[in-house]
Amino acid sequence: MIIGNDIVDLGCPMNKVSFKRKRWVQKAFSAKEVEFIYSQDDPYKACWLFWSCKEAVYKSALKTGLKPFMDPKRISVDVENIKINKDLMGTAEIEGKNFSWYSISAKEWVHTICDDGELKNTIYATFELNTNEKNHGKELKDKVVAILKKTEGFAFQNIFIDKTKKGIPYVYGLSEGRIQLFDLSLSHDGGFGAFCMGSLGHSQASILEKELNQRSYNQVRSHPQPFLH
Amino acid sequence: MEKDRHQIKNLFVEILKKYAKDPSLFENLNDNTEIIKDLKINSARIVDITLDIEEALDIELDDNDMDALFTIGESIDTIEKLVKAKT
Repeated sequence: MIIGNDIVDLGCPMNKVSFKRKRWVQKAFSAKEVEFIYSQDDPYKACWLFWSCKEAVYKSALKTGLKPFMDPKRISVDVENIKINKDLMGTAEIEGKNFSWYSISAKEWVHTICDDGELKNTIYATFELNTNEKNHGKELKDKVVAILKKTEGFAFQNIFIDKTKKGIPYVYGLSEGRIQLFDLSLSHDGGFGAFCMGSLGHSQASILEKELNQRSYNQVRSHPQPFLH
Repeated sequence: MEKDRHQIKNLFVEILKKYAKDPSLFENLNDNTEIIKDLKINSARIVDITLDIEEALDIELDDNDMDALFTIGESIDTIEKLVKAKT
């Protein structure tokens, strides 16, 4: 499974403005999704839950070779099969392919992860971002590395985040001369950041290796310590 | 009066700037600049940008037109086509 994730800051003023805008919801969602959203006790939260589902699933699908697109209606959330456990889970479809999603939320945010393992083999977290918004990308990566270093069972103390030429993020873990690649998805919105990280199967790792930033990969391989510190 | 391509580009860039967090990213704009990846505009704002274009130019972007709002060049091509079709 290739993972994807998306966080929405429910307190972000732009998100409030968008939801209130005439026709915004109708432009973003199918008729079935719109009906579901407005049937909920909290349509605002339902709207952004669905949006985060679409984004998480889209990010995952891009890694499987999907050509990028901008029309959110090309991703459809299956409104008839949403399960409520402690959190919410369900499926969404893009171009005939189904993807599983799992969504957790708090009063301030909604975080959805596309992962068919119900998060059992996925490391994920949500956290506040404190820097100026234009620096959120860097703060997000720094916090992900700090969290991974403290994660029990994650044996790699030398951790480096990079992106492929197509902008897809991944994690290098280095330990005693061994390099391992991990699947990564990053997201930030308003004052919150989030990530999820999972293992890559052998074939997925081979595909990713071909698309890596070869310069940084070679540097990591040859001189891991100076490059990482 | 019908807007020419240059006017449409200026209007479109002004709309984009409303939703960008980092104005310096607009310094090297070209037709291949990607709205989300290069200008770091939140994907949810694409819906707002679509509505802004519709309101500013009195046109309607359907789902296929919205799909073209990927690069600056593709976006302007689509908007220009819709403006011409209106007149």
